[in-house]
Formats: sequence, C-alpha cells, structure tokens
Amino acid sequence: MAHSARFAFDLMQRDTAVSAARWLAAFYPEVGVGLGTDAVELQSERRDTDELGAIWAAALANELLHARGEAARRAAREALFR
Amino acid sequence: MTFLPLRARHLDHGATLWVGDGGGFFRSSPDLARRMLGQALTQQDRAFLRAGGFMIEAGDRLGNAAFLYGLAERAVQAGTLDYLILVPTLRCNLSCSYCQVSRVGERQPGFDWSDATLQAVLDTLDRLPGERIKIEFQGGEPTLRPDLLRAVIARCQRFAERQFVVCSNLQVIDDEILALFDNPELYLSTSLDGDALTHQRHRTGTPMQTDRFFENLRYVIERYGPEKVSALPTIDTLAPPDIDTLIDSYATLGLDSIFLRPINYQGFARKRHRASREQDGSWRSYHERFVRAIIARNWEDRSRVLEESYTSICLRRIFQPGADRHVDLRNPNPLGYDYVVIDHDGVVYPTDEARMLSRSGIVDLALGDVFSGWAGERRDLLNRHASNLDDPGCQRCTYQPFCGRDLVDDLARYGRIDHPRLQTEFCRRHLHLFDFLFRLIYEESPAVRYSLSRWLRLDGTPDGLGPVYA
Repeated sequence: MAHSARFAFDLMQRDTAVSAARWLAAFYPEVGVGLGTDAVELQSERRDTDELGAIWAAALANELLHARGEAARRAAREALFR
Repeated sequence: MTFLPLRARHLDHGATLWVGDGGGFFRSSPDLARRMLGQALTQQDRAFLRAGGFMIEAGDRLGNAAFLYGLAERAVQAGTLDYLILVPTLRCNLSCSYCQVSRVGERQPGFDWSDATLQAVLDTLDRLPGERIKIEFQGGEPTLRPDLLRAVIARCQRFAERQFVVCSNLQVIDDEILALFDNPELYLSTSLDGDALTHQRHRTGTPMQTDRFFENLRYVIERYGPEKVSALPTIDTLAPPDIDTLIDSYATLGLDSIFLRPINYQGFARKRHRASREQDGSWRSYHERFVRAIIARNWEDRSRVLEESYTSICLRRIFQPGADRHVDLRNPNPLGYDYVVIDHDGVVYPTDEARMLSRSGIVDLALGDVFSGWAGERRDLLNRHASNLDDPGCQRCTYQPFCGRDLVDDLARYGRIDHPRLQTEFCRRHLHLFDFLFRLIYEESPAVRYSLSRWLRLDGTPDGLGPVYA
C-alpha cells in the first residue's frame, strides 16, 4: 500500500524547503517527492506516514545545517588545504 | 554565530543518524531534528552537541581547533610514491569473458616489457625517496615472465620495508615460479569465483584447466599457509552463486576474507556483460544476505572469523580514520602521486581502471611514461576533481567523512566526471553500504556486535558500538 504525507512550509522556510525536497529525492530514491508552492508531498510504498514525517524532518534539518554551515565549512577547507 | 558541523539522515523507524564533519556520529529520535528546525533546542541538547564537537559557539577557539583536527584526520595527504602496480606482460594463458584489461593471447609478441622498459622501471625504483615499497604485479599473467619479477624484486632490496603481491591465475606453477613464491615478502592474489563449476564457467573453460587451478591453489595454501594467499570472487549479478556454496568454497580452503565484487564495467565486460554498468537492488540485497550469512557463521563457530573484505574496509573507515589506505575509498583521492600503474609498454596510469579504460579505447588517461615521467598538466587536471569536499551532493551527504572519490569509475560508466554525484553507481553503492553498516552498528544483536568487533580488530566485544542520544 502506498503511503503519503503532506508537509506545509511558510515563506520564511521556502528556499530551504525547496532545496531539501530536491535533494531528498536523490538521497531517498524509494520516496516520491511532489513539490508545491507552500507544501511538499512525500509518497512511498515502503515508508509509512510516521517515517515520511521523520524523513522530511531529517532532510529539512540537513539542508538547514548545510545552508547555515556553508561559510564556516568553506573557511575550514581553505584553512586546511591552502 | 553558532556552527553545527553536522549532517542528518533518516535511518529507520524512530531513528535519525547524525554525523559530524569529523566522522563522530550518534543516533537520536526524529524529535531532535524537529527541535532544531523549530529553534527549540533544549539546554540538554546543546550540552550534548557541544560535548561531542557537533556544536561550536562563536569564539570557541578550542572547539574550532578540534573541528579542524577532525577534518584533517579524515583527509588523505598523499605521501611519496611507494606503491606501484606493474604490468610486465599483457599476455595471459586464460581468456575470461569479463577480463577487465582486454588481455592478449599467450603467444602474441610485443606485449612484454622491453629491456629499455625494464631498465626504466628499475631506474624509477632507484629514485624513490621512501623507506618502504609495495609492488603489485598485474597482467596479463605476470608469472609468464618470472625473470622480470625477479629483476624488480632484487632491485627493491634496499628498501627497509618491502611487500610484493603477484596477481596470478595459478594455471602454471613450476619450480622457477615456486622459487619466486618462496620469498616470504611475496603474497599471492588470485580469483576464485565459487565452486568448480562456477569458476570453470567464468574463467578456466575446461575441466582440465579448472582441476589444475584448484590443485595449484590447494598446493600453495598447503605450502605457504592461507595468510599468504588471498582470493577474490567476481560475481555475475545476473546469476550470482548460492551464498553458502560461495562461502564454503573459501572456508574449506582456509581463506577467511572474501572480497565480493560484481563484474567490473571494464575491458571485455563492457561488451559481454553490459548489465554490469549499473547494479540494481538485487545485487545490494545479495550483498546484505552474504554479510549476514557470514555474521551467522562467525557466531556459530567462534574459532575463526570470516569477513567480506570491502564491508570491513568501510566499517573501519567509520571508526578508524587514517587506518586504511584503500585507494578506492579515500578523500581526497590524489592520482599519480603515491601510487601509479606502469603498463607493459611503459605507459603510466593513475589507476588500474584508468589503464583498462585506455585499453578499451574509451578515454586515454595515461599520465605519461616511465621514460620521461608523469608529473604534468594531465595529472593536475585530473586532480582538480579528486575530492568529495566540493561537490554539492557530497556536501549534504551524511557519509561524506567516510566516503571517497573515484572519478575514473565515473568516467568508465558515464564518460564524464561531472555526472550528478548522487546518480553515480559509486554513490548509490556506498550510500546503501553505509546505511547497511549503520543499521548493523545499531542492531541489538550479540552476533552482529561480535562480527563487527572482529572486523574492527578489537580485542573484546563492547556492549554497544554506536552512541545514542535519547
């Protein structure tokens, strides 16, 4: 049975959410991703709605951490490999 | 500003895996991600993250230094050249359907090192500045030219630490070859695809050649002990062998390590085994069942430890940064510095797969030759893409600290090095493998913990291998 879950995001989160949704499709190939203007819908044969919620939280947190840490990580790479 | 050098991945029901940039990791419930997104981390969360080096507050110089140290510990610094793969001849006395290097017939002239090439190889050895050397003789079948092997080994005696590996099909071992094998610094590597019928179908072709191979394999194991001999199976993923039969084929010979390899999409395999370009879920499922079968055997019979070699390598990459020099899984993966391949004609390649690609006429990845050197623009160009730190997919990947970079594999499969990383076979394979390993790490099973601890070369078996944050 296919499971699906819809997750709304607000304008403040939009850039992060859109990017998270795009990467999610690559990192979790068993999950289908539909992206709307203010929500994302995840579908899966294998993952139930609880798990889809956990996947979305992890993907969104991952993208947030990436966006917020990008400058620090770039500086670290330059410090190490210059 | 507070910096969290951390990545998140949903692992299983109720479990989010968090991995720091330096490779430290823990598991939590999905609520931690939700608190992070809601900017509602508790004092307890913050204290836990700070203590593990997963949160660095502005002005925390010690925390920042620890973070940089963690990154540096994971990054490969190529040393001086000390590992050479030498191909003294491309001739071979077998004709395997998935031969990766498109070998030539046993009697075909012009595919052995010339005197000038041998001399240039010896001169190269003389110039190496280090105290240790590892040489792997590949082919073709290198034992067709024992004289060349002897010349190289003799020239290496000045190195304090020496290791030689002869990759042989073991079809012929006469007195001259045995005298070579008797060297305690020399190890043997061969292919063993499973039971006699499977091996014959894939490689030896006739019952006579098959019998000869097994006879010779048993003979060298008896003569030298199994620790001198390693064997690898190549698996046709469309018709993989029965798992227990394959393990038995190794275990009965006293061989504990099995490096499970699907057919490499190289050489003759590109035409004859087209499906080997991409592995699907059935291969990954086969690999998991294989590893679990080994875990069950190790638990049942604790007098010996079997392992799937690549799984062990990846496991050690998680827990023991810097402990393994496996060149297919390191980052950055600088090419043409600390190891090179010298082909039968003296041409130098960055990897054996690069040699195969060139032999197949796909792309010429030669860096130069043994006569005039290989440091130059071509090597520099390749090395601009030798890291996983700059790729947007890898930057978001939880397993980036443990993973590597194999641009030659990307070239082999897709003809380019900028194929979206997450769509590459290399990435899919390792994403799945690391998912599998982390599930094992967190599995509540004494049998699993026992095998993982042995593969990590631990003395005992800890109660748990992975930290958990409730």
